[in-house]
Amino acid sequence: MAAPSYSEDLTDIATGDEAAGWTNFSTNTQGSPSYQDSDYPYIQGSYAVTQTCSKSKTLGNLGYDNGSTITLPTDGAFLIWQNFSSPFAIDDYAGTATTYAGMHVLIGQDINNFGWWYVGGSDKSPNPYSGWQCHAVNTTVAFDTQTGTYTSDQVVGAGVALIAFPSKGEPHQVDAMRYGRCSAIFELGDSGNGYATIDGFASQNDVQTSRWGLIQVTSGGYLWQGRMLLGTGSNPVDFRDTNVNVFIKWCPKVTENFNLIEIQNINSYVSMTGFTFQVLDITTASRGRFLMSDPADVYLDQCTFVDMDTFVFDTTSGLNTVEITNTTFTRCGEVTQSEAVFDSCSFINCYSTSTIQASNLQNISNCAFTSDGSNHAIELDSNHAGGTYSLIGCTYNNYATSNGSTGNEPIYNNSGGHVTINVSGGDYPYYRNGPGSTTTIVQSIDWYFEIQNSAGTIVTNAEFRIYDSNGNQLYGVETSDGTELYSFDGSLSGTTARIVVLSLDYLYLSQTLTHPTTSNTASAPIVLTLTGDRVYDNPT
Amino acid sequence: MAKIVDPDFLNQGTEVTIDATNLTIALHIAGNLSTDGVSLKALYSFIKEEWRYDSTLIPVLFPFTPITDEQFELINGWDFADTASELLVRDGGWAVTQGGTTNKAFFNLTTLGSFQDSGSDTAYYIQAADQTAVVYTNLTGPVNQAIQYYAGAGYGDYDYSTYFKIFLREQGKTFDSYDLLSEQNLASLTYRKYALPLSNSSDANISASDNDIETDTGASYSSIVVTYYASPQTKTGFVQGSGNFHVIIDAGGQARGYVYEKIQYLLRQDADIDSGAGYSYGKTADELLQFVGSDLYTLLTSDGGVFIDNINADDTNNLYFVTDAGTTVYYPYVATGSIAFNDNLQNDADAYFWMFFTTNPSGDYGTANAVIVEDSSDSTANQIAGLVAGASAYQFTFDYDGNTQGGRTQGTDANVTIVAIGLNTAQYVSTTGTISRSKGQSFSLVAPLERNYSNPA
Repeated sequence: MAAPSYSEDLTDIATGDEAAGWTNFSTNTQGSPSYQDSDYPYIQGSYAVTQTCSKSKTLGNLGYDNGSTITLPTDGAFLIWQNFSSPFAIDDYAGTATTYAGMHVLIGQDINNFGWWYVGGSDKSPNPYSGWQCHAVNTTVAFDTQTGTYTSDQVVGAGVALIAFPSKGEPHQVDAMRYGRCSAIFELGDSGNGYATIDGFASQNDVQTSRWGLIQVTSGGYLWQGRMLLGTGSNPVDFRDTNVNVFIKWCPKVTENFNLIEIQNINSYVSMTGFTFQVLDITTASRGRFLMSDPADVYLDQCTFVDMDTFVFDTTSGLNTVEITNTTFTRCGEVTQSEAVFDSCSFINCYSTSTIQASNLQNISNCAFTSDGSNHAIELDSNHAGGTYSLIGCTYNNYATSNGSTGNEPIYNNSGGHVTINVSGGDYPYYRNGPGSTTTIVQSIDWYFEIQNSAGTIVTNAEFRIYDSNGNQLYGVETSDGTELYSFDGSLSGTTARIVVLSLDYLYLSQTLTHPTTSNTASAPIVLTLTGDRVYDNPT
Repeated sequence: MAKIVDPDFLNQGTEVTIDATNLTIALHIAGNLSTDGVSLKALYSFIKEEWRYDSTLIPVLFPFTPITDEQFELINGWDFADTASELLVRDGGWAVTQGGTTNKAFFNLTTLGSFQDSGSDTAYYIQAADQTAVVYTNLTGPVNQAIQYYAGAGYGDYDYSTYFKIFLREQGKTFDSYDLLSEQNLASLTYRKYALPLSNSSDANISASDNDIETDTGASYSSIVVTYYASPQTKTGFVQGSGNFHVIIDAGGQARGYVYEKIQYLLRQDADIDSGAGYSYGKTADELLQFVGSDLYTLLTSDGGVFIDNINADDTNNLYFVTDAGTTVYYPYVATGSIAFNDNLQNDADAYFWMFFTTNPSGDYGTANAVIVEDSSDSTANQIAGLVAGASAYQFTFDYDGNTQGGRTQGTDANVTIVAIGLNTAQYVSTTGTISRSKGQSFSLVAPLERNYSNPA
């Protein structure tokens, strides 16, 4: 391909560098817009638009008339940089003193008819330490209040509700205002030119003239909002990055799909190793979703997703590979498998009805599920109807321990048909049957044995058999090579297993054990020690 | 067929039936299996092979725990199907155990030695000292069979682990018996093989048939009885003084051979043989008599010593009695012998002979104090000396156990020197010899012809 490309899909409304043209909404009681004074804080370009705020318990705001109505793309947002230099002077998010949130975005068709979207306060990060914030507001989200009648988006701005007043200076600053889907667009990249990375994008985002407010460097990682678009319809991306902490910004006034990791283009390659995506505040309107819009190659290894929303993977046989390994999903939403491979992953306290909406149970192995108490670990979709699947090494904590319909069964067969699950290793998965569904669990626990003599040498000519308490044979070989693997249905766990080993050179061995609940390994087998038979003799 | 020792000669459904439902093993006299039986080791090996290769058996708990070649346990509820099967097992003992509890126990009894007539000679045994009904072994001839000695509660409830004695007593044959625990110094029996000597042969000292004895044919057998006394009976007149006995055989004046025949007859009787007030079961009573050469010895029994009373006088020096203390006593012994004279002595009317002790505390031969040996034929001293008087020989007796002439030690061999001298035809002659504890001892005096003696009238 080529060197990675980092871009965005934002449209400027105003950059704050203007010398005139800003306005105050009708509720403003503070100063008029002030321009191009570099002595006052700014975040993008050369200046911010500022105002004095010398009157306590009054409202201040700054706005800009776009001159025409703005139409937001679906799940897009207005991005508005705002700062108040004296954070102690603004009301909290609840508007305890003024009935208005300490920081808010104002958007309307004019300065007399506009909506209020509360986006911050003295108790919301980065306050009480102050600092520039890039508010994201989607006006399809219900406003918190309005002045006049809000109908459309033409005049855009931000305001503060004051509970005290700094009598000097111009503590309220508003800088670049943009709108769009708010996509951080990653394209291209290769081994020769470097792969696309988070830091690569952030370094573009954080250029003084950019300050897109999408993925920015912050202490300990990167602060992200909007859509992380990995590959586009035009260009694939070769994204490979490791050990990155991404903090998902609190966005109270956006749609759920606003914060989205979206992978496009079937030729894209996305590899995240050791990533952590952490929602900073779960009161956010958008926890952050993961969406594969195209069947690209995706590898997530040793990643951690905390408090995020849904994950939708996409695998098309023969086209791509999606492998999620050693990855932890903590308090996240439902994962739609779409044939993706999950190996050695942990799912902890998923808040959805089902942790994984599975299309192919067989691709889920060695995973540990912990229920929040009302959650299925794996929901089988209609693809499973009539099929037989292997399920290897999965464990279930805090799930129902019997079949039923509590909503907390490890397996929810919602395929509408009969599904047979051959379980090997891990825990026995109790299940719930959806409408028209039936389930057969055949748990396979591996039990390794090694037949030795008293000198520790493997005996290779013994007959080896296992019987249940009724004498029914569960497993047997006429002549063992000395090592045996007996895999059994987990429903046998706890029941009697009588092991019989008979070699003419050794004493008959009959040992009664209990079927274990977990597998052992070939490297740590049950050792059956035979004692030499000094009596047996066949002289011919 | 000989005893089976190779598992290849056993087949399910023919010689062996394995009932995995009732957990029994049955042996059948069929195919290769005859009354000669099968060694337990071969049976175990066969069973093991069947378990190994018969897929219907391997699910079933294995019947045996082998301990040694000759000691096994039947476990997990298994047992032999019946007594007939048990009696076909050779060369090994076994216990039938369940959950660590022994329900039955068998030892194998194998006799060593030959039976004179293996087709008819049959041993029998008892498993308690006071048992009055013997059990014959399953087969005639040398024994190799299982004998149950223990049965737990619900299985017969007995324990014969501390006593076992086997007998072999056939008419006209030597008797044999063996007290297993006593002889092998065992505290108790266990389920293994015990080998012991047991054999018989023709008894040259018995010529009478049972009928002869029962009808007093050839001798007054009915006068020969035995009495078992509860208190010791003191008898005197022995070389050793007196002795105590608990068993007294009344010979009824019959010769010792008849006594022996009658006693051996009684010891085969399925009845009380005690002519006294007591009770002694014939078949299992201890043996009382034993011939050693021509002498008849009594034996020490569990009742005590055995004495023969009212004997035939001719048997005085052919009887030896063992007292309660285990000491052998006998009547004083009279040695006998003869001194032969050659013609020169016989033809000399003056020929005279003397028998001196060669050595004697009072004086050895060759000295003036030499002591002439006395004959025991008379109650008074009667020296062995006298004229030849033309006799070819002189018969003498010697009180072997009583002669103390000159202070010699009685009961010991006497070295003697015999001299003779004549006048006209016999020169002086001497010879030496030893009078031992025996009969018919011979000495010879051969005097040279006298050619020089002259005493003109």
